Amino acid sequence: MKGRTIIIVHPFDLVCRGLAGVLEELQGIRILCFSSFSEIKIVEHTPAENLLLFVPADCRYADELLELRTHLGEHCLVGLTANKTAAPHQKVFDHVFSLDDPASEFVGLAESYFRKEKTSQNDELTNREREVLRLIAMGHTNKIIADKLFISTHTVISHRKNITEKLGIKSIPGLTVYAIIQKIIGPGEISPDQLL
Amino acid sequence: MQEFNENDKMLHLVQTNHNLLPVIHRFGIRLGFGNRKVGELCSEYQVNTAFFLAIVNTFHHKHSFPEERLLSFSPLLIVDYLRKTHDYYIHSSLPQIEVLIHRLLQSTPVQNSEMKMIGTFYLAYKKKLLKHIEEEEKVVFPYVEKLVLQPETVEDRSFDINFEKKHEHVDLELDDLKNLILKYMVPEYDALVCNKLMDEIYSFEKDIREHSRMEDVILIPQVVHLLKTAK
Ligand SMILES: [Fe+2]
Ligand SMILES: [Fe+2]
Repeated sequence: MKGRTIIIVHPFDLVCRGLAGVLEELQGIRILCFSSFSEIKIVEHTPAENLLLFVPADCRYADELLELRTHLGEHCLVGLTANKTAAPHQKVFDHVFSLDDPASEFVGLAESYFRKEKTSQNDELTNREREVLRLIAMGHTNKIIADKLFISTHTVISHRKNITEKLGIKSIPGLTVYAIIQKIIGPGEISPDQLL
Repeated sequence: MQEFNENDKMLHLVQTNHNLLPVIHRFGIRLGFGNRKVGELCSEYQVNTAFFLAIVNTFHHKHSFPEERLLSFSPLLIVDYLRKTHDYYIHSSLPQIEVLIHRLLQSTPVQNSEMKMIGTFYLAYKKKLLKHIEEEEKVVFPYVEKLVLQPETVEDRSFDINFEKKHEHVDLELDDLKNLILKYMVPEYDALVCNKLMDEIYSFEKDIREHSRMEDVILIPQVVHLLKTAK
């Protein structure tokens, strides 16, 4: 499943479960817990668009942390310390939190991190986007849509991205059904195998 | 982590998490547990206790996935479990969702006939999923079994490990189904039917996600390993 994922790595089960429990109030986010860095290879199998990692900010894990940082790219790495004063390897982290910070701060961080991806609050499509959606529903490729609308394929792709983000619908069959429900296109205008 | 073990009463599992009941049934274990323990019931039903426990614990602790432990079981056990899960989808989850979507759409006003497309969307999704399942049962699983039982007879070593990439596809559409209903349903519909439908979709989603993960992270690596060692 693509989407938003939180990964918690901590040797203490109580920390993992406590943090997972607190973050659970955020809906639609998958939470995975690992007791050590060596188990975290599962990440390779679960490609996520958006990762938020909580790991111990402990100099014993310096090598693992550096390695993790290089693989993470844009994803967000949060270091966990036992108390505010001890925070080594600051530079690998995007944030450092202390385990005595209030739970609401952890939730707040996760919430704002995942929200910034969701740029649009309303799901109203622009006229251009409706036009692009109509052509998608008719089964056209990006290239053909670009030619028909006299725009570049690059622009078509960015319209598609905006449409998907606004609607929360990602598959072509899903977009096609949306277009019909919203009367952007008539059921007779799509080819019968468009949903397959 | 507090995990279920063989000395727990089977009843305790269901009372702790009733979503485990379909999983228990999947192993062929029937009700009438009395006070019998997990270990006792497993041996009575000739179920591998360690494997049973690994599965129920994975299912129960949604934030953990004991990759190492699951990898240690025979691929034959994994395949057998995956088949039983397919059966559950084919005979329970998928038809139930179909009936409920049909009833939900029937409860919407006639003038909103476009809503019927949600039903068409689901049928198309179901068709794709069933085709995927059939490919696994006809091609992948028999291949794995042959690789374990008679490796010398396996000539084709070019197993397509990218096969399971299709999961992503199917996951997306299930998510779209939820969004189409939750975000774009007309307001006139039977709420009771809708509650039941969403319940069913959410538990199916959770179940099939675990199932796909088992195929991706356990079964496929096992096949790759078998192919390496059998050379
Ligand atoms: Fe499967
Ligand atoms: Fe599969």
